[in-house]
Amino acid sequence: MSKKRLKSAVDNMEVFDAENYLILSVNPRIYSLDVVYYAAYVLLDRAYVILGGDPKKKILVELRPKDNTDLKSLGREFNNELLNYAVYLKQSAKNQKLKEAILQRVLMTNLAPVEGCEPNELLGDPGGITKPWGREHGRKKKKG
Amino acid sequence: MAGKRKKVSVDERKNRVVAVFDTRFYTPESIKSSAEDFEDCCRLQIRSWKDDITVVLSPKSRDINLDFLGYEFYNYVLARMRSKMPG
Repeated sequence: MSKKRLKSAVDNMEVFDAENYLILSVNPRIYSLDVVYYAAYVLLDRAYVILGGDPKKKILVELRPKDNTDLKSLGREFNNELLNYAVYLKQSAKNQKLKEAILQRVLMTNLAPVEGCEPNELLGDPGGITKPWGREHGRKKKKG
Repeated sequence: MAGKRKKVSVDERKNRVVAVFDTRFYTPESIKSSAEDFEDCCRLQIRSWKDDITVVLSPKSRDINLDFLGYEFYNYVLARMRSKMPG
């Protein structure tokens, strides 16, 4: 990749030093609108954020720092957050089935027993400890 | 300005701020509920036109800085939307 091309791929921000704000352009095919929301939310306490543009073609994010933060570093931080949340959402989607399986397993104890199946059969009882107490230690009948 | 038109404009003569929201990014519900929360400190007018919702904020107190009011309102709406998102 040539130097010129590399620069255009990275520089997605337009800085307006005099008015103290910058505009970042985000490609929605790379980062979804949800990812942009997450990234914007992280910077809410340090900058004023305004979203605009076209959600299908080019999302524009206006960042106006509340303090003396450097405009360029703020923009780069936003770019990092975009990547951060894109990875998070992708991993989250990947682990969705695993999460559901774990949750199902946790809630299984509260489920009604399946017909024709002992609860122990569903959960497993490797130690053989789920025997009813009364079967072995129940009161013995007094001899008359 | 995120887009061609100005999203926040201050009218110091009339002591008010006009914030224009694009409903493709900001849900009308979050704008309305945010406006309700701002009723304590501002008088509000909400108008809608095509994809846009315009909110006019007139502060009840002179202590409120007009230059930041519109941007604060924008941030508040975004925070409202985030609270309804999963994760």
